[in-house]
Amino acid sequence: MADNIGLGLIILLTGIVIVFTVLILLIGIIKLYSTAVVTIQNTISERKSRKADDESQKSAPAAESQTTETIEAEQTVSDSIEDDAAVPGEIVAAIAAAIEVIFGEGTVKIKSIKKSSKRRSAWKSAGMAENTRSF
Amino acid sequence: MEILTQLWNSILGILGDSAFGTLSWRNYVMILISFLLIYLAIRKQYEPLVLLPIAVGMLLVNLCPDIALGGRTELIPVDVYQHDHPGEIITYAKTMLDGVEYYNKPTSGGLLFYLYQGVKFGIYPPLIFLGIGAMTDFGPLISNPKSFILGAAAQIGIFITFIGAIVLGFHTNEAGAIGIIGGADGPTAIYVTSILAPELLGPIAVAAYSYMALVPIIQPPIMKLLTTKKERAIKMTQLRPVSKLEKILFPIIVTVLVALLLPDATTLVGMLMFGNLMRESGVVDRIAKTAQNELMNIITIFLGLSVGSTATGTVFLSWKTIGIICLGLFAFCMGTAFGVLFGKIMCKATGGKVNPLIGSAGVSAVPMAARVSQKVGQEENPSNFLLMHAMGPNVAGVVGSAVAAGVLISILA
Repeated sequence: MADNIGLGLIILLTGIVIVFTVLILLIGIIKLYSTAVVTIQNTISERKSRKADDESQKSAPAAESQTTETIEAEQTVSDSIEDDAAVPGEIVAAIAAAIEVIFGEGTVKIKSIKKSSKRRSAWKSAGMAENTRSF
Repeated sequence: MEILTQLWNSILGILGDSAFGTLSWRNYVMILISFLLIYLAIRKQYEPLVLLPIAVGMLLVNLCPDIALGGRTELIPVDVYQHDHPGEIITYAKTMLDGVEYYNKPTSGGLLFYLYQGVKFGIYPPLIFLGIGAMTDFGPLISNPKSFILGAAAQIGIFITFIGAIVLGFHTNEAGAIGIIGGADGPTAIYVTSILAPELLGPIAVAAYSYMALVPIIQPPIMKLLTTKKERAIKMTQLRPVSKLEKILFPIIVTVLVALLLPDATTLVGMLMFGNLMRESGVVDRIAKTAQNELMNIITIFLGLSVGSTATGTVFLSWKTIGIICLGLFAFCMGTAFGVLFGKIMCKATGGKVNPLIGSAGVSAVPMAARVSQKVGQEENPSNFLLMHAMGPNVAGVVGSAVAAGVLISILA
């Protein structure tokens, strides 16, 4: 019995020490890689946004210098601007919030929100009704 | 008159061969216990997914013990067999006994004997872990890795109970199997017991699953006893969102680290993390869903029936079972208490930012223990939402109990 209790005490101490050591090691490693992943992802997204900014800055003067644009292209651009402008701020906020909830905060960058065509085929309307009706 | 005597003799013969003639009183007591478990599973819904198959396995094995017996070799005199099977090409081995030659004709075992091989060779529990991994979101744990401390603290009960079992006269291997009940993890308890003390599988599985079902009754008094009203009302700040990459890396890192440090825990942790990798990778939705649903359900049926089939009257109706049930409860209470106490330490260390109630979720009963933390916390402060905070220690407890199982197996097996 005394031997068994001795063994029991050894197992008690060994068990507690090993379980805590392994799990504390996991805490350290998770913190380490989480920090690394977050840092890397932030750096990548910053670079991407910088690139996008640079490209828009480059394209702006080029667009100004172009004097011979077709009327059709002008109309398309102005239509899309009008469409974007037509989306109220509250709706933009609601769509952005819904997207963040689905994909996670800061993981998606919304570049534009456009109204879908008002004309919908009967098949599209049926599909939309099927997928959005309340339960 | 002669006809009546023959009729009486044949009735006696049939009765002698029937269960009425072969079962002992222990079998009848076990049949009553199985009825009680069926009642608890259906009426009270105590872990019905597991308790119902266990109870039916228990019922079947006590009604017909042959259902759990392995294949045997029947000795049939050669001349008798050849007479009964004329023209058959016979390949059975022969045995000579007292000058008579016999064929060694193998007979097949009962259904539950073959199902039990999955428990005996440690196949079912890791497959259950695969399903659990595929269902578990480790996000709250990755978001707040300190939860691992609470998951580790709740495992102290396992090792304290181990000593308690030795003091009560259990063999060291039996004590290890009894202690693991404190981890509140059914598959882990079955896995460890099948390796260390397979003869105690029935009582330990029943105790483990019963206490897991009783988490909402056992834990709250301990949680309230060890915490103040002010501590229970603490609101915790929202967890940070975890990226997909972090979630994918987590199972890989945990598997590598645990397998390198503690090879005996690799089977359980490896399967748990494989299931989780399938879930988080998002590229194998079909097999991830199979692991969560069909595979998990099939294994649960096999596991429950075969564990129940080990609960025969001779094994179950002994003082050891009463000892196991008492020590199991003690282990469970100690696990809860140490989880809450470490929660209090973390509360002090963080200047009151951690609600100690989440510590009780360190026992692995997922997600019941986390729900209990949420419920007790909301009783003090209805606007408090501890569920996601408690899920961290809860899933850490699953990893912790697998690591504790690895420690016990590596030392005792």
